Amino acid sequence: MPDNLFAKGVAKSWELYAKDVGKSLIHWGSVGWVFSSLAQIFAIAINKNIDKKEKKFLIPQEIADGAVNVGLYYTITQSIKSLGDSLVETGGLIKKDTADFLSSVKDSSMSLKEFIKDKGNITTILAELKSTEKIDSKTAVNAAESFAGWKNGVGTIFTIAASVLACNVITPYCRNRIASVFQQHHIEKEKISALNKTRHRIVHTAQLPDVFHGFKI
Amino acid sequence: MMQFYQLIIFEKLFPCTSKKIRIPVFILNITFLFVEVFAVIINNKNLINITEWTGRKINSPQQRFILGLTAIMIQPVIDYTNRNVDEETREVSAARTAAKIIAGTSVGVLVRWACIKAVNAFSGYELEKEGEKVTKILKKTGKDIFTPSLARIGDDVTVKNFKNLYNNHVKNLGSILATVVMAGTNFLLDVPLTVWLTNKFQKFVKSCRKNGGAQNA
Repeated sequence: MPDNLFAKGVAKSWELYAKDVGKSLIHWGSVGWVFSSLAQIFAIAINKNIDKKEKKFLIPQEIADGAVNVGLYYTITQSIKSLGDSLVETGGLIKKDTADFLSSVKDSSMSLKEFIKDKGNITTILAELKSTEKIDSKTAVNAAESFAGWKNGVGTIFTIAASVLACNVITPYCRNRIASVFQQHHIEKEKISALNKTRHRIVHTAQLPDVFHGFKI
Repeated sequence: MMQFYQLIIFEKLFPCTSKKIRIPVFILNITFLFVEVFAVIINNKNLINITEWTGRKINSPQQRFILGLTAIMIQPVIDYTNRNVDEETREVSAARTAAKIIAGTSVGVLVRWACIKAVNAFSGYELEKEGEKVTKILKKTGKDIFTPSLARIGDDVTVKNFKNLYNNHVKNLGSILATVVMAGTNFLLDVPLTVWLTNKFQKFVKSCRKNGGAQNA
């Protein structure tokens, strides 16, 4: 049994991620993006070769980029991976080997989809078959391992495709819209402040000529 | 099946007018169809092998590389065509985005690869077996700090599938370690490299603008 925090963490990593590479890519990808975004904001702030005017656009853009990047990455990749897992578990996307194996153990009156839906999902069916004497246990174990490899592969492909969509298509579009809103707001603020400076300027009156003073009553 | 019909009825009552909403909803509808009704049976051996290979071999360094490669093809173009800001800011933004992608991808891939190698070097193991089933994982030597100490390894771990599971575990743990290391390297390596590359690309963009202006004159 693990006796310290580090060993517990290592054991937890095995439990959570050994069979599901996609899950690890999503969780730790999100954490990585947080650190990366903080570093990029710092990079712009300390770069002396970027004009102040350009920094006013780039820093809000980078903050928006970071927030949108992390939020969208996690939401989109998690949703699309869950969709992929559903497709695989409900038999929507299934290997021929697994389909043939399930067809050999199901009721002949039911279709494959009906059989899977009746039992819940394919993982449940394969777990049940391992513990029954209906079929040889080695065949059931082989079928389960084959299905696990397929599910892991489909999950990884869905995760990578979703991360490309989130980070390279949706995020740049959203961050540019958000950051330009920040810049417009900042430019308007500057205009108003410049206008206020003009209004409150002290007005110096012109000096009257000496002749005028001669006509005073 | 009920959820699918409910979705169709909902769409008839509240038709989406925006194309941006309609396209993802359409894709969701099609996916529901495959989850609930259809079964796509994959018979192509190459496709199955590639999918399973992806689950076994692809992890965070490869994912980071794919993200970087697709990002460099897409993101600078999106930034350069952003009409919400002036031309000079667009050019700086595109140059900075390209620099950020190259710096982030190089450092990201390198750190992840190095951390996975490091975890691999300190995760030697020995197995306790009962026939084909693996009952316990033991550390090979005292320095194998990344070998998980588990009270119960699980019922579905066999000698055949253990290697794949363990490889996944090592790569996932390496990715987690890389995320922690990158909290530091983002500031020490990413930032200076991004600043240096940004300045190089900005000079290049300015010289292109000058040459373009001189030619037009």
